[in-house]
Amino acid sequence: MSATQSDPQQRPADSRSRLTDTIRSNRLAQVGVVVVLLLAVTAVFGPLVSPYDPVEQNLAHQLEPPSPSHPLGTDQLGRDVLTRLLYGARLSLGIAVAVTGVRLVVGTAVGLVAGYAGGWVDEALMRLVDTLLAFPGIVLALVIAGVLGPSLVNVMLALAVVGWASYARLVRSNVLALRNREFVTSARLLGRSRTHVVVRHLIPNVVAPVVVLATLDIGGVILGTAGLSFIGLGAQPPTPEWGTMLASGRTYLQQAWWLVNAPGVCIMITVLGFNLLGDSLRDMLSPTQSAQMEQL
Amino acid sequence: MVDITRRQTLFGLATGVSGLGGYWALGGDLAPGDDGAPGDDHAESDTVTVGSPWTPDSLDPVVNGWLWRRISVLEPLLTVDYDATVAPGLATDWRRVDDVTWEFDLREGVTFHDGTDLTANTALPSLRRAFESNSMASVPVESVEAADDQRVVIRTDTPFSPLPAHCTRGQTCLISPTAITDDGSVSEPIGTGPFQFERWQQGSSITATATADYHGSGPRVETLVYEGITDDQTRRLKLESDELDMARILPNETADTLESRDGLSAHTYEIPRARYLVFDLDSSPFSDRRVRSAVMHAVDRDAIVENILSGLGSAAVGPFPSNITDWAVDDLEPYEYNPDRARSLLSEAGWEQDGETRTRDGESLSVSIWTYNTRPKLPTIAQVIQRQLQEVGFDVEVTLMESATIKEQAKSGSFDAVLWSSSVLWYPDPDRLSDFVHSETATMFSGFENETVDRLLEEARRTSDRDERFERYAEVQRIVQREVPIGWLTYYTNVVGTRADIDGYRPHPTESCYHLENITRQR
Repeated sequence: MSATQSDPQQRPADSRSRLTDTIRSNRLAQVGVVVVLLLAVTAVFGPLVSPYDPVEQNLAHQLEPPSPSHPLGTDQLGRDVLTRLLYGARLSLGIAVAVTGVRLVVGTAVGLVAGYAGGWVDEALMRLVDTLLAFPGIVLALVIAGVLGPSLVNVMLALAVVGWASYARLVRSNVLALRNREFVTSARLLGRSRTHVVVRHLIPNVVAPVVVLATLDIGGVILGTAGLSFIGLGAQPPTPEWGTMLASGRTYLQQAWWLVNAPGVCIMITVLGFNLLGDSLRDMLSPTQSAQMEQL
Repeated sequence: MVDITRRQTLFGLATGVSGLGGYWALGGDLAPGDDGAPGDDHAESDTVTVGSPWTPDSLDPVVNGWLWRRISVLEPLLTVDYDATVAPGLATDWRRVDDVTWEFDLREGVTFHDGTDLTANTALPSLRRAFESNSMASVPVESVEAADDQRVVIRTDTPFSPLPAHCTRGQTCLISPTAITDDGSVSEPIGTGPFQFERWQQGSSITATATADYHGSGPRVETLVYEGITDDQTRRLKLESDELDMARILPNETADTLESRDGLSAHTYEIPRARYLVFDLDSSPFSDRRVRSAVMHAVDRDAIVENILSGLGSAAVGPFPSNITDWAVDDLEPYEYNPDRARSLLSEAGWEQDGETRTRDGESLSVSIWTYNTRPKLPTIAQVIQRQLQEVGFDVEVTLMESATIKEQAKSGSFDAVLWSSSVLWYPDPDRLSDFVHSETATMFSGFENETVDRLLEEARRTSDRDERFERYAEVQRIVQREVPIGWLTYYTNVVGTRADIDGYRPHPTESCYHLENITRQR
């Protein structure tokens, strides 16, 4: 690892060029970027162009197969499936970004404190992290969402609570590696405050792996939200949420395949897109860091 | 470690969401019909496999008797006829000797599956167990005695006309005294039915074989396999893939698709079960009768039947469907679909239109409808109601919860309205109305208190004359119709799919028994 690389000032430009290189050379990475960009555009502008209301019922047009006026057909209450998917994209992406954001902030904070403070603080925080990691995340989320009662907000809470531990562990291990490096030691010897050292020297150096983890995580959160909504713990009717749509369309599997397939494919593409993007981001990091990121 | 978490999350959810097909297949494979395997004497055509949503959880008739009764392994003292009246069962005749004393003549020449003869003495242990159990605590039985060899006498604490109807319930199924162990538990369901218990897998399946010397007619197949399959799509798929000969309680919309397929047929029949809204009478806004009536006028029940229930069934007027039971009253005033009437009722009650949602003294007309999704159509119906109530100025939130949670929370705290579905006649007596509207014994949670209703229900319980009882129950139904603590929405139609080579199946309206002893296979 070269000295330039650990210099926070030089990193961004460096990684930007490597990012473009990676994306140019890697077809899968291109797919990931395109999918995620498309999704973002869809989520923001899709609902604006749709002529239908996602919750407005039209019983005269229920269970219509795909047609020019309803490209993905209508559901059992005559609502346009495509419109509901578009609004659902907004919801899913919004939730995923919010939950991942909370996970990232909490996890990073805990990791920084644990790694930099060391001693019993580190010990205590890491045992808590171990406990959380030892639990299958989705089971814990199920329990939390079940206890709090069915609502989208509670699902977000549950997913946020179970997911931050991986960030804490990742950040801590990075901080442990960094804390004794020359630039940190010299900053300390120069009399810089702890806050200064953490903010100026540690955080910039853990951002990259954390962002990669977050990108990979978004897919998981989308799947988690859909899964919990599918079993009725998440979005309440008539909210157009992908998991809920999947669940309510399930009884019509034989008469109306589009009710299940449309949200199902949406979930799949989205998760795939984020995972491809995450993978390509990981590849863009240097070999050493890349090896470290393999664990993600 | 990080690795494990992420992959597990993804994997777990992938199984949850996209891998459902796999999950269904797995669930099904756990309880396969191993019974046609080599070494089994019976030809395949002599086995009939039935799938329904309820899993066999106990061998004890007090707990699971209704299931053993449905598949004709156990038989109760009295049965339910196709017109939902009480009919002879293991007792051929019964009479009320005086206000509190009932005599039952046991059928002659009946033996339990273990060879024990059915006499008053062998019947007593299971009858006593049944009436002492918690699940029959509402039946005020004081003693069960043998009058002579074939006659059982049951005395009640208070005059109790519905007693014969309660003697059709699964708990009162008779089992051989040898099946009751010293500590009072049941080791095996040794009954008197046309099929006898062979083996089971708790929670998934039961295998029963034909009783050689059954006292009635049938059975016409050698082996009966019952599978408890919770998911209705799985039941349908297993029927289509020939793993089931009969799949019960399928979604309404599958009726047409089943009929159109070769080798399958669908039976649809109305059952005495209703979908209804239970209002909380103790909290605003449904403490006001006008608001409750407004809801009933705002909901287009015919549209629900037509569009959501695939046209199967009918919109409900009162609690009882008149083409199933004579206890239905035909002069009940139906709540016609009339949004304007609903709007004027709401205005009358002080809820003024102000923007989208009505308000009264700064309080907005926001209600929450709780329902559950184990009955597949309820969430969809809730959304239709939500939409229709918005039309007249309600702000409605639909919340899906576990049915047990709803019961618990609605009983202990305040709520607005619950969309519920239950049988209105699971024992064939209109005393069932007490469970809905009696101020003290009601198991429904509306909090309805009406002295006249209580008095009528109690009188009808004591009276033995059928016409006098009918008058009282009719009056109760009229009062409930006016006061709407419970708003009846639709009745229920069941869809049963069978393989086309199954002959002689006749659906029973109360489903107290599937009467599988009457079916044959053509193959």
